[in-house]
Amino acid sequence: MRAIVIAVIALAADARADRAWTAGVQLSSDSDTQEARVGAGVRSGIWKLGLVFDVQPMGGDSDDIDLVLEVRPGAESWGLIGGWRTCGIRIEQGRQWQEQLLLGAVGNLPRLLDGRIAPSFGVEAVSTIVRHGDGLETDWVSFASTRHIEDTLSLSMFVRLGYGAAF
Amino acid sequence: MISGCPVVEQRKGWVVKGLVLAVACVAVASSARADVARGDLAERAYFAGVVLRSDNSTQRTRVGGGVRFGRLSWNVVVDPFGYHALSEQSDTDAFAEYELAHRWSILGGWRVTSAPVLGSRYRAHKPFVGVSAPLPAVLWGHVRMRLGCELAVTAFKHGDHLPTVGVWNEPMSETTDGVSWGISLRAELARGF
Repeated sequence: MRAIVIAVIALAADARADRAWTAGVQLSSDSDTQEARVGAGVRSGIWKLGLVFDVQPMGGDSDDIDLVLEVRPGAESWGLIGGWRTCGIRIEQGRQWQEQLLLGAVGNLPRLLDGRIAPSFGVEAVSTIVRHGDGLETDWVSFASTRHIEDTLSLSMFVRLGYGAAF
Repeated sequence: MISGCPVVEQRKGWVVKGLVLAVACVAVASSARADVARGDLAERAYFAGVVLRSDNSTQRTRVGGGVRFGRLSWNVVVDPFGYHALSEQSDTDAFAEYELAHRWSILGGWRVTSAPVLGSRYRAHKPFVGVSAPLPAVLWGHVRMRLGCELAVTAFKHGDHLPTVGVWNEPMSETTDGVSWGISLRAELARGF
């Protein structure tokens, strides 16, 4: 019991000593999202919670907002990411929404500008869980046909350029 | 059957490959941290591996290799899947990288894209420039991971019985259509010599 208490205190102390906020841009060359988006997050110890959203929210044919949790279990260099993307697609009647699950990994790149800019690379698998909205039938994840699978699964790579500061 | 469809199999295979890669990267990096690949510690090295990308500029999985002398690397990327599937596009790259500072490099090269058109092959020549940088190495430093970001422009296209079209004789709107940028990930075995 004492060991557990000590471990919890140590982890909490580590988290307090290593808290930071980050902000930056996320670039992607595939067609899943807009090519350039912005993001912000808070890191505490090995955990980081972040939001990534379009530069012009609700301004284009497709808008995406990601909520991403990142954990770096054993090393600073690579981490696992899991998250949720809400994608709004403009259609004739209004807007259809797609809810997507994100799973992947992120790795650190060499820092730039005397360490002030922290670039990173990420790869994520994207699965559309449900489509809904604006008079269309709600469509849950399905592997019933080729079309369903093509519309459901995709892989995305991205580069982040982030600035962070401790708090 | 869904599982028999080549398109679906390709998509599923790509997603599975990505997930395996992601999990393997984290698991291995966590247990055997080695930020710099062993091959990159040597003054000279040769390397070979796979080149992955998620956009449609080229085939998503290709094979590459090269040799590094100090800060300068010479690379070739070939496209076994593209060469094999005659009904699909294939891309062959040759490029050089030079490490500038903080382990970031600039790169420049030439890509030849061969695509089936009207029973023949249309070949597009695409010079490209970009930057690259190392990611933390995996598998105890044996596998070097490298990010590449590139901007490519279609300089000219030609083919059997097809007109030769250059960037110089296309209207500006079509010229910008021939410009693309992409992100790639290279996973390579490297060894010094």
